[in-house]
Amino acid sequence: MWLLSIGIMRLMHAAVPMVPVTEPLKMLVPFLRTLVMVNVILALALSSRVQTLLTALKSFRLPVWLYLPSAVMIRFIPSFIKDVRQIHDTMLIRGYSLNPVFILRHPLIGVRLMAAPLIFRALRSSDELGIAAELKGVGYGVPMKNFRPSVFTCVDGLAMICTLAVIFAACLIQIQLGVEILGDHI
Amino acid sequence: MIELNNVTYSYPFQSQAAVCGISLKVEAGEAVLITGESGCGKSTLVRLINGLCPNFFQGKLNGEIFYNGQPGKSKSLREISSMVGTVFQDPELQFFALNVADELAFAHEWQDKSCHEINKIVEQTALRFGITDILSSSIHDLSEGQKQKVALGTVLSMKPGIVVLDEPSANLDPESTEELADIIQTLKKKGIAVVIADHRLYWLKNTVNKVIVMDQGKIAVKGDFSILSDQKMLDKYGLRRHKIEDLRHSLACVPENGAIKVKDLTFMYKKGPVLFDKISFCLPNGVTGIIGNNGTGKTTLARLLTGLNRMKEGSISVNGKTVSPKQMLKRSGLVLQNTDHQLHMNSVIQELAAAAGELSPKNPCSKNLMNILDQFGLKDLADRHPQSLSGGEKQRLVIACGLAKNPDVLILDEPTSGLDGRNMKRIANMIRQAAKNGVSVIVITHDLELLAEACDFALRLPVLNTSDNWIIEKEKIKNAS
Repeated sequence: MWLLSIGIMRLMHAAVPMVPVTEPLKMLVPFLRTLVMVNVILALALSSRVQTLLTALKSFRLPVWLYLPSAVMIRFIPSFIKDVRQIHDTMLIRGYSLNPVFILRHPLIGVRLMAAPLIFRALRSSDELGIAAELKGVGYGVPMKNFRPSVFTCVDGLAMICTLAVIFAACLIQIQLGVEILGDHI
Repeated sequence: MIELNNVTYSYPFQSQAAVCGISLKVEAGEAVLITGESGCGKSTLVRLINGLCPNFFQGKLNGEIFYNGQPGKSKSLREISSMVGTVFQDPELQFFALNVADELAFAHEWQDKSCHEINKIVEQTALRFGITDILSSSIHDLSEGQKQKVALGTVLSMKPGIVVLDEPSANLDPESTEELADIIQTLKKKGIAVVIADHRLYWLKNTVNKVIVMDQGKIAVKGDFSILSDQKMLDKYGLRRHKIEDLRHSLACVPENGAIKVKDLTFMYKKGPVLFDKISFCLPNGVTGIIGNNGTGKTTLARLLTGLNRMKEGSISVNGKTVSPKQMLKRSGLVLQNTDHQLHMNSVIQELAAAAGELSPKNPCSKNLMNILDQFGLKDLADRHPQSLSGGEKQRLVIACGLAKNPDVLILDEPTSGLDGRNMKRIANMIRQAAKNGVSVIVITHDLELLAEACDFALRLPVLNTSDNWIIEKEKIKNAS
């Protein structure tokens, strides 16, 4: 990842010379920022069940036009992964593997092999789900009620205090050390 | 109660009516079976009953539909769906939540009910359908029978007077199908009118009061279940059999010698229990049905035989030569249950060419490929987009694709679910023909008719790892017969 960062920074430097690449200390900051972001997202992704995200979404009390597409998008993540796996299996059975060599040799066919079944599957699923929503009486002006309402507990309070403390510390470090390390141009 | 009075309906931009002059009455506490060949109009009839036609699909409706004596024309889809509950062929596609409790609650969360009320409904529904232990389970971990129960539970918790089941048995094993028949009996006793559109007939023998056979959008034959004992009528309208023999326990077990030999196969998923522990068996030329309950590893065995999964220990040999999983991938074909995943190209002929290893064929209409299409009755559809084909045509195409690379083993996972009698027989004949040509065909199926029509041998799971394996199997068959 470090090497990848150096490579990307060099490319960015070629395009925008004000982005520094020469000094290792200056390289360290964007790298660490990316690392922190990736780790936060990774921790969230690995520790959250899709149903938990759906439940959290319910508690936001969003309007139906925003809630329903978002919920369907999240709801279908596992199905999407399952579909991709099945399509991948079919391709392997037929003797096609989506490796870099294959994609370089047959770029359009590579996209078609994966995308065509996915698109048709998505269209079919959305059609069926649209019908199911109509039959379940979704979105007829009645606001949605979460049958397991979220309650703000001590744990949530503690997590909020910790988050605020981390944000405060990060701001403080940035103000105190940021200028010293990077100079004025970052 | 529902009544259709001389109903004719056409979809938008279609000059021909999908159903024509339908008159039908389903009383409270009555169950009616609607059956017929694919494309006969039974799905449209189901959509007319649950109000999707014309409220969702638009189109032109003539005639009258009455719900509990009130005309349907004056009712919105929401009003109709509060009276008519619908369960689709693939219940998973109608689920909005990812676990059972949330799914049972979902429709009620939009009905302005209190949390306490919704919780009570979820509890009661779970108790009623015996699904309390799976309330927190993910819908992806459920068997097809459990999914069907969750879908039915969701629908019935809304207290409809009419329940419509669209192809309810298509994905169920015989035991779950029997359970569903019992549930329908209970619904009838509670005064609910049940409309069932299905290709499989045998399981409804003691359940339905009326049978309606449709043909080209019209009611062709009407009567009680006994009308289905007329074999000529079944053949004429492409129906399945009304009575079938369950061969799962009596079909001959796979012989001790065969073209494909699996030795000491051991396999387990990461962090999972041992699924196969040093099992050995042979697969002969001919058609072998893999039989076993849910969770016994039927699909995993298919994946191991095709080389998609690597076995922890053991070996596979074809005609005496040991082959690696990588080689097995080249020498085997696998047809999955969902045809949508297996169709990638622009036309039927291109699909077949790609399956035969010709991604950019100079002449896709080569004689060889056209011959294969001809064998599968798809020659006239060579230029059609594969996704525009009917269910039966798609299934035939994916089987043709599976055979296009001349595999040693062809594995078919539920190849006839949701197919009518004519297409089921057609596929059974294709499977037999492939076996005749020297391919070892393996079928994973819950379809008892396909088992009876096509299979020569049975491989029953779980396979024991003792050398007495074959003796035990033979004993079982003796006892069963």
